[in-house]
Amino acid sequence: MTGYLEIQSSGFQSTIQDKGRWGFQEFGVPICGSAVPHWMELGNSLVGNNADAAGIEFRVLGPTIKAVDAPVKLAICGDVTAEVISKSESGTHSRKISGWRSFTLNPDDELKVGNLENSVAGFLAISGGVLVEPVMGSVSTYVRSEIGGLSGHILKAGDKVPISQEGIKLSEAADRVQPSPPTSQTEPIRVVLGPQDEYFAPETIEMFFSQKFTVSKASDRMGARLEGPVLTHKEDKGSEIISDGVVPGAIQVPGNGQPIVLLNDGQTVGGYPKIATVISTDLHRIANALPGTVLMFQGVSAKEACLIARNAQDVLERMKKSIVAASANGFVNIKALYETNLIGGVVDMAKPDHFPGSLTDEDV
Amino acid sequence: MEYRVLILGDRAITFEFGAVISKRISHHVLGVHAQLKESIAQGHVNGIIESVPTFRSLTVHYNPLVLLPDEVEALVAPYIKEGDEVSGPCTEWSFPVCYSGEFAPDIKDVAHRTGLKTEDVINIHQAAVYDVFMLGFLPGFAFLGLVDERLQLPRRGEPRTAVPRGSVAIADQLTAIYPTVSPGGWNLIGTTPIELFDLGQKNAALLKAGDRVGFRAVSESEFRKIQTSIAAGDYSYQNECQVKEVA
Repeated sequence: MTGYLEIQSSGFQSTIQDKGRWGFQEFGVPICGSAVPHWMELGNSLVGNNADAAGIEFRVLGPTIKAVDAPVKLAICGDVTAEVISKSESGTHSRKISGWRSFTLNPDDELKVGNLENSVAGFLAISGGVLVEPVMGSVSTYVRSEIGGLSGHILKAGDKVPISQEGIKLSEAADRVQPSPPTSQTEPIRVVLGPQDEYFAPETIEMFFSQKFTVSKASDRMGARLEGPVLTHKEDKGSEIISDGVVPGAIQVPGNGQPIVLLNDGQTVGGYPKIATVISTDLHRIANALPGTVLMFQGVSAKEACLIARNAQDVLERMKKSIVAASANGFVNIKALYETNLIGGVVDMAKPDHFPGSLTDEDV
Repeated sequence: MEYRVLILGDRAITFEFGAVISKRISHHVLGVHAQLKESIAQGHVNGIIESVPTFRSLTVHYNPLVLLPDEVEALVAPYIKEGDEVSGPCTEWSFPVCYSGEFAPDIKDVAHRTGLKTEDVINIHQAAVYDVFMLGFLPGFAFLGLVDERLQLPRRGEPRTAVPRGSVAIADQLTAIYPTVSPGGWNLIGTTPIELFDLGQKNAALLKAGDRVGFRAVSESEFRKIQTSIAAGDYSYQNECQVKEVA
C-alpha cells in the first residue's frame, strides 16, 4: 500500500521543509529549513517521527489536504483552527482539530487548515515525513532556485506529496497531545553585537538597543525588514562592506539605515554592515513576527547565547517528554494537566486553547 | 598570518585576514578552508558544521549545543597557521560567451561609459583568466576577478528585476555569470549557454572558490548550437570548457 497527500488548496506559501540544507553554503546554497524548528521537533514527536523529519510549513493561511489511498498521522503546530471533513454515504461529517495534537487523516478525508493567529509560520508534521528525494541532503524547498521539495515549488492545488510505509504504519498509533505548547514571548529579542558594529557610532548602537522597531510587510522567508529609527553608518565607513559570510539572524543595515534580519532562505553572503546578530534561540520570533509587530533588542555575549541555546534545547526535550496520550472522552487528561503545571506554570482552565488536552473532538 | 575574529551570533565566527580584495588574501582564505573542510569530512572537528570562504575572510559555522565561541576559535587557529600555501585541487575553465545583440544588453552602454569601442570591451574581458574568489548571492553564482581597470564600472543605477540566466556581467573590479534568473544590478555584457548550477550533476555548482575562469567569444549561431547540445545532454564540459586541473 502506498499513499499520498493531495493538495486541494495551497493556502499561502506552503512548502516542504525539514531541518535545512547544511554543508553547501560555500556554493551559495542557503540553509532554508523550517522557520520554526522547535515547533517542527514537537510536531514530529507528536506523530512519532525523528526530530527533523520533513513536513509542510505554511504561512498565514494553511492548506487543504486530502489523504489518498492510505491513512496518515498529522499534527498541526501553530495557533490555528482546522477541521477534518469526511464524506460518506450518510453525508458530510466535520470535526474540529486543534493544534499541538496528533490525529489520523483517513483515506479520502480532507484536512482544512485555517488562518494562523499570533504567528506567520505554522508546521504540519506528517508521520514518516515525506517521501521525496533529498537534494544536497535535505528536502527543504528553496523556491528562488527551485531546489528541494516538490520540484522546488510552493505547493499548489493538485500536488501529490508521497508518504512512506513507515508513515502509514505510524498512523495506527494512539493520538497524542502536547499539554503545554510554546507560548508567544514579548521579552526583547536577544542579539550578539557585531560583527560590523564598528560601522556605527556609539550613539547609533545605543539607539539600536533603546528604541522600538516595527516589522514591515515586506518580510518573507529570506528576511524580515524592520522600520524604526534610522541607523546611520559612520561617514568614514559607509554602508557597504566587502561581502562576507552571514547567518540567519544577521541584522544587515543597508544605506537607508533600516535593518533587515536575514532568515532561513537568506543568501549565504552579504555586502551590508551587520550591526548585530539575533541569537539562534530567538530567531523564530523574528520569522514569526506579524507585520506591525513592535520589538526591541537586548544584547548578550556569544557565549551566553550558546548557553541560552543549550537551555532552550533542554526545555524542548522536556516538552517532548511531556507529550501524553490525548483523552478520547473530552475530559481533562489529569496526567497531561499535571505535566503542564509542572512545566509551563499555571494553566487557565477557562481557556481551552491554553490546554489542548482538554479539547473535545465533535465526533468522539 | 594576522587575523581578526568577528562574532556572528551564536552559530558562526568569521576569521578575517585583510581589508581588501586581493589574490594573496583569497589564496590564504582558500587554504584554510580546504584544510578545515578536509578535517570536517574526516570527523576531526566535532561541532564545526562547514566553512564558507569569501574575498578576505572565512566564516565558520558551528553548533552552539556542542561548542562555545572560545572553543571554536581554539579549534580553527591551528588551521590558520598551517593553511598558508595549501589549497585543494582546482580547475581552469574556458566558457563560451556571446557578446552581441540581445545577449549583451548593456555592452554599448559599457563601451560608452568607459570610452572604449565595443570590440575592445569584448577583447579586454576575454583576455584575462579570472580567479573564483567566492560563491554566493545565488546558488552557483561565482564572484570572479579582477577585471581590467579600463572595464571597471559601478553597478547600474536601476537594478533589473529579472536578469536572464547565463548573463555575463561586470561591476567594479568583478565579473560574474548569473546561474539563474534573478534580480541584479550588474552590467550585462554577454551571455553564456553554460549551466553554472545544475541539480542533475554530481556537484550542482559547476565552479568552486579557487577555480579559474576564462571567456571566449562565440557567435550567436555557435551559442545556439552549444545550447542545443547542452539541452540534449551531449555537451561535454570536460572536453569543451575544462582547460586543466591544477593541483
